[in-house]
Amino acid sequence: MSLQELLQQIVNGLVVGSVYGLVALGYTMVYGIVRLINFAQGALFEAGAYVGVVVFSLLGAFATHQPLIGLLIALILSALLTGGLAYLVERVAYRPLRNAPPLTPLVSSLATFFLIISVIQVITGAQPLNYPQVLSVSPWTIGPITLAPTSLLIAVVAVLLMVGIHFYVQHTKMGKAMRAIAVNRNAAALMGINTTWVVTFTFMLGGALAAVAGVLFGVDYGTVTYNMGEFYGLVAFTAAVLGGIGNVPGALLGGLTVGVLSSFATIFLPNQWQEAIVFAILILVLAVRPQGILGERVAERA
Amino acid sequence: MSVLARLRAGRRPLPPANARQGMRVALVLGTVAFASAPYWLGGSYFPDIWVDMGLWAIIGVGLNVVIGFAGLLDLGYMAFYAIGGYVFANAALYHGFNLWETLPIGAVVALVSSAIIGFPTLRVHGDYLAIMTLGFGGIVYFAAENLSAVTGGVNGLYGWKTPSLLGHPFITPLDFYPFVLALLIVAALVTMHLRSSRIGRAWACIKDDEIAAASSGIAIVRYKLYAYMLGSVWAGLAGALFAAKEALISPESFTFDASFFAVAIVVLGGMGSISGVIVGGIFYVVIAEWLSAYTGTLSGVIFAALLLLVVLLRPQGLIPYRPNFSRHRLIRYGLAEPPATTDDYRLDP
Repeated sequence: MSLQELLQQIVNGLVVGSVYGLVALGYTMVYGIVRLINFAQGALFEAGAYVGVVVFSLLGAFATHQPLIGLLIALILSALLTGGLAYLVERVAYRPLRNAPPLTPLVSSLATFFLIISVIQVITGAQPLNYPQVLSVSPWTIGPITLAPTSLLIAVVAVLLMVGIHFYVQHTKMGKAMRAIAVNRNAAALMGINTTWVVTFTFMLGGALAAVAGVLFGVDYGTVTYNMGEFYGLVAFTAAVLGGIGNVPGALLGGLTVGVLSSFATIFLPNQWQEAIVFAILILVLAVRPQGILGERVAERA
Repeated sequence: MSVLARLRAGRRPLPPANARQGMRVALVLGTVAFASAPYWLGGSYFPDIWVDMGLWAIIGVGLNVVIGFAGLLDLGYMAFYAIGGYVFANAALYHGFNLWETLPIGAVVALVSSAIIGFPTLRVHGDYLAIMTLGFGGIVYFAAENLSAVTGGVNGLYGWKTPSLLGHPFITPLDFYPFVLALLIVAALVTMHLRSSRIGRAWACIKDDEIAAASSGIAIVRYKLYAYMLGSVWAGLAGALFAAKEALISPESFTFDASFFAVAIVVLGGMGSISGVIVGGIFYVVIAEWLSAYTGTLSGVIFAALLLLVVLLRPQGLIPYRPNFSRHRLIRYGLAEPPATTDDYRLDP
């Protein structure tokens, strides 16, 4: 293994890791507020990627002439539609179970995840779909490494969004309400916060972020498959746990770490070991430091 | 109050005594007729389906210990099914073991491996457990696909000597059927007794309120580990029988989907209810078979939708577990007040 190869894998890992971070953000925000692992997040990521394919094919020639505007339209439409889907999921599958024992919403989120994935599988006939090449500029060579402009664009968009969300949570009224609910939901409701709406909004935001990540992932990877939500949903969850679940900067950190580690793995090990590495990281983190890198010790739930 | 809620609260009057007697007799006869169906239906298709039903019912009964009794969500349960299957396949292929000699080994390996994975896993809290078991299931699937020396890789293992007992070879599904049925009955009886034993009561206590259980002196991690181990062992046994029946074992039987369906069987049937999860297992095989005759992929949609509906409308499952049967009777006679249901307190419209 040369130094060049190592640097190249770090760069590749950072790009894909920033996409994982976006999905992880959805997990982390929902968990922070309602203490629920939203399994559907992986399916929303996938749904977002598929909406992106549909938008690109509807745009047709326009997307090839104006790739950046095409990408922007795809991102916005996918975020809106998937945010709507997330609203539906919250309304149908979670809200009625708000006072149920903790196992019940977990099972219903699992069922929702499976439902969305199966529907996509039935519609597309389990065939992988291709993403168009957005920027067909030849890759840049910076010193020993090569970097495709598309990859740089993806990483920049993802990181900007994450920084934006961090500021949104820290400095707006809605963000303050989210943080208040995370501390104590009943107290927040007594202070006049519309907790139902804030929770719904958080789900929608998580879905929209997953959709953006899905489109970016599709552009980076070139193809989308009906079961991508299963594995990448788990990768993103690993990222969220690694960074410290409930912690917004932790999602970015966790995403980048998981991305770099799994792309390192491709140097030393055959390609299919990437999956095993992610599972191993997950189990190790949960066993050794369940609160993650940045997380505080998670209080036991009554 | 909806019709469903009224059924739940048990305001339906009890039928007269002779009718109840008749219903009981009909239930027993129906069960016997159903269980013996492969013998009088004949052919090779029906016995195969019935063996599958039996295996999935065993999976349901085993997972019911973990989810229904102890309240631990296990998303990697089929890993133990895989472990049982591969232990059998290796023992049969390389060491010439017969199925019956392998079954106890499979059970022990499933027990030991569940202890090894459970020990670090069960320390983490509730939701994390689900994810960790998911990761474990993923690793076992990955190992089955890639550790070709032990598992035969994607193609799997096959070609061992036909198992036999007292000189009688086991080839057709009908040969295996009595043993699957026997294992199911043993599993049902053992878990039924476990449920009302000291361990079972400790599980119920942990499921209801972990902090209260811990303060009453229940060693939570140890009892959770018992649940995990005593649940997984059935998957190990069923996995070995499955591999023997198919005469082949390959990774595709142990995907995440399979573990999801196992959870669905327990939740659909009724968490904690043994008859419920058996019906759940039968139901799953019927739906999967019936749908795959038309279109293979739709079964995922239907099962996920059904699971969602059950969780939302009837969280206690199709045949709920009734821990306090005599009180339930009193309520049905109108001699006691029905307990308040969550509906009475539901805040959201």
